[in-house]
Amino acid sequence: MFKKLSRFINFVNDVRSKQRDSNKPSPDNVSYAGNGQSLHESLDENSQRIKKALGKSDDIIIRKFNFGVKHQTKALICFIDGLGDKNLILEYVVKSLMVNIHITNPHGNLVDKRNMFNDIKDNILSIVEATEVKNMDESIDTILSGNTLLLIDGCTQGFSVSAKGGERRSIQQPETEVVIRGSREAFVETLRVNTSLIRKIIKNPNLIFETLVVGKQTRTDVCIAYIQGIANDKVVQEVRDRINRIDTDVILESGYIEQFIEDNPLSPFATIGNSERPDKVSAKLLEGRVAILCGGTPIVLTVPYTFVESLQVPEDYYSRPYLTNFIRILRVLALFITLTLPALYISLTTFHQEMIPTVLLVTFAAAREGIPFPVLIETLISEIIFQFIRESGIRMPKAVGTAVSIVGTLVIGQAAVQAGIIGAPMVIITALSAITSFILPSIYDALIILKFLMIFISSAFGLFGVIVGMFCILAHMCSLRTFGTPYMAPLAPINWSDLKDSVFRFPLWIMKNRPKAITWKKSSRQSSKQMPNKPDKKKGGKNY
Amino acid sequence: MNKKLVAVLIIITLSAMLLTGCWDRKELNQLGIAMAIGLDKGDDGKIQLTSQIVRPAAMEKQGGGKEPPYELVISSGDSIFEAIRHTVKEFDRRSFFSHIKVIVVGEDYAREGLGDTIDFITRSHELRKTTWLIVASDCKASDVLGVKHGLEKIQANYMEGILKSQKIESSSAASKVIDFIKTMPGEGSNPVTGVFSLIDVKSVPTEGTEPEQRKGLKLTGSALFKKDKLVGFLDNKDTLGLNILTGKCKKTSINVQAFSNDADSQVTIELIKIKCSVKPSITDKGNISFDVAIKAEGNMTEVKQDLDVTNLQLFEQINSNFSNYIRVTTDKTIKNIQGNMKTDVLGFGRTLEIKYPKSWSKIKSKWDDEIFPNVSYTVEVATCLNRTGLTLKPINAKKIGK
Repeated sequence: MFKKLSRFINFVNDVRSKQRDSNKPSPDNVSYAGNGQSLHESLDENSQRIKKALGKSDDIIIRKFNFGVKHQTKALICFIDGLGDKNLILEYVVKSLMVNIHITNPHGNLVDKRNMFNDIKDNILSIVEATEVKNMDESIDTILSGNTLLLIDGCTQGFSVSAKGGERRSIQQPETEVVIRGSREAFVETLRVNTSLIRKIIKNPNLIFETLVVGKQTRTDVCIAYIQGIANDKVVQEVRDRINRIDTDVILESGYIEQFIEDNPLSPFATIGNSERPDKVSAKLLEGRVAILCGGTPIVLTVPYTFVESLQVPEDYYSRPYLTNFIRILRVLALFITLTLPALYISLTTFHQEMIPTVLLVTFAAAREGIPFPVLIETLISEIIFQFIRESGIRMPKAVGTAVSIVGTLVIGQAAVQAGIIGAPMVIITALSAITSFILPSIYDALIILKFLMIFISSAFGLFGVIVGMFCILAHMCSLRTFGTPYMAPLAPINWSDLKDSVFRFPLWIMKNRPKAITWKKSSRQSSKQMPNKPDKKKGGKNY
Repeated sequence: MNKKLVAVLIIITLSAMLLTGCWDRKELNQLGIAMAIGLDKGDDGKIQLTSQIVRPAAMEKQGGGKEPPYELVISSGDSIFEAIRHTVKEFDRRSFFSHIKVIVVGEDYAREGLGDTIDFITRSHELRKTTWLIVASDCKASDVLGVKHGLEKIQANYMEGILKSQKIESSSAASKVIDFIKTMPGEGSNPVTGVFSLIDVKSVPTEGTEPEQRKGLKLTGSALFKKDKLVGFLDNKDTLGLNILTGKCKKTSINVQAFSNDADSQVTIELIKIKCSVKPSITDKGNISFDVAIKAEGNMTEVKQDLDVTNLQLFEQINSNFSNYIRVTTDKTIKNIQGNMKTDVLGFGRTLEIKYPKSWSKIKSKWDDEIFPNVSYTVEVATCLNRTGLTLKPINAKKIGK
């Protein structure tokens, strides 16, 4: 149904956009000061143009100076205050031109303009990263992206000097995906720091970072990361295409990208994963996934994202498999409890009282005695109150947070039961399904929506509705795709080899191959027969 | 949104309203959860139904009130269903019968026949066939439902607790509706149910309480039916024999004397395993006889002070008295059933039907009344004493076997 609906909406949108295109002139683009002009020979002219383009803003710094042995050559540097590192610029650009030139080039052989540019680049400029800019657009880009522009009188080329500075958050512990055993590093807002965090883990020449610029106003750097040879080229190309297709003003967070490129925008299930842990993202890259890093956010996207990934946690692989498997089963149980527990309570107490053990039924009946609402309303009240508490707990300043929890537990939990507005079993059910919903944070939003759906279905149709509802959800999940991979892989379609890391996690030495559903081909990550064993005496091993 | 889409959504929403979803929805606080029902013959000849309905408010953990935890609702009608519907007129909640533990049947009611009652129970989707079925002897069913003595808050649970104990003390019968259904319709078998009698419970005065005279319930043997009609009762000892013969005996205690002339030589044996097989045979002349073979195992649990039970001779003697006891008990039971009750609750006819189906079809119509009371039978008992408990000899063991 969702498929048909989405196809329908797409169709409508297509028709609409065609109409719009034929009626309207093309939407006004951001006017770019450069207008494709090349750089002028005269420094003053260039300076005028830059001022015209950026000069209204106070944070632009333009500094003109003379250099050369006889101070015969004019130059200017331009950068944005706060983004450029003034010390770096002073030490390696200004100083090397104005002071060190007397040491490195004492004869002042800077007469020939064409040679002068290369001379400066090769012999004088001592900063690490300096690239050529050829026209006005590039110059403006250089300045806006935080680099420093160096222009020299008489040259039709300039330098884009990378001397970024400014304040940035240091690397801290992850706030959302906490583990006991494992790395404590989390991504930060700076794209380069994030790529370096991944590079620190995967020291492989095949790890590729491709940077694209998205967002007409924000010009956000978006970086596609993948490992050539492991990731499927078609998936990488698809990611590239979809990101290039984005035509919008603003990319403030990776969530903007997610919503523009996801496969199933009408499904409650997210088909793009996210993480703020470099080790997790690296592990996904090494399984053949593609990561999308976005400047300005510590949240990194990974595609394709399948359902079983929401059951997986980095720590699963760091600790030994026994407890891990137990906890994975608990996670599956938590999934079902979150989705169906309130619905089951409603259907059992309003339709199928004969299915409840007698003692429990009498307890339920005793708790419901004198409650003025039907079970459905009772459930909705307590579920919505919980959502209120949760939402206010997140949005509130931390100092007030304790007040919320006190009000939440005391007033809602205890007083509501004592006043006879909500039954005690209902509070337990709500609390339990709330606790379990936090066990699977990555599909939390889908679960909450579907939980309410199940509540309504069960109150109308009883257990029959619960079963039909579960089947519908399952069928919908099986119909989803994420960048060419079935969402339910490897459970549906079943893939025995990939099942080693799904509901159960087999020991690492058994998981020989990378997930085929992701790489689209058989590829092995290690040799077989790696199970640790006693030294073999026959083969001359020592008995330790 | 597109107009078409809006139209589709509106149609879906409107047609969903026509669906009859919640037709059998009933909230917990609209239900009167019945835990037991009693059926009696009313004074006006109608069926009198007594429902024992839980009062949930009294079951609350905090401040659970001083009100009794259950309420007895009496109504009457020409059929059971009518009586159930009539309760609504005088009781504020709709009775809900899925959690009934026990169905108590008054003696008068049972003598008139339980066929219609069983029919109603099997037809109803609320009542379960695994409910205990029991006859109230010498009193009305409604009297039984009002008596409570044990620890359970709800009287039905008290009755169920007693009925379940039949497994560890098999000198009384306890059967469920399903057992009744199995044995009632076929030829060559007849139903047996348990019997509740009202007794006076002597309460020992403890600190802070006054001695009081209270009523209680007791399982007193079994009620025998001929087809669906009650014909009579067996006492506990005969019921033990009946249970042995029908394979329903699980555990019981038996007192035997090591020396038949010495009352002081009593040994108590716990019967732990007993098996009974009945083999019918028809001679050429058409005489029907049954060979009953019983195998039993037991443990000694109590030995009079001076018996040296480690003495093999004495041990054998006790064992032979043990099998003798079982033989005498079962023999007496069969005689009693043949002579007084004239109903084949032992299932002898059923074994005959399996082995000689042709002869059976000729005699089955007069089996219960004419043939069964006069068939001959033999009882063979083989017993085995296993253990003497944690100790072997009593402290001052002197007597040994002769």
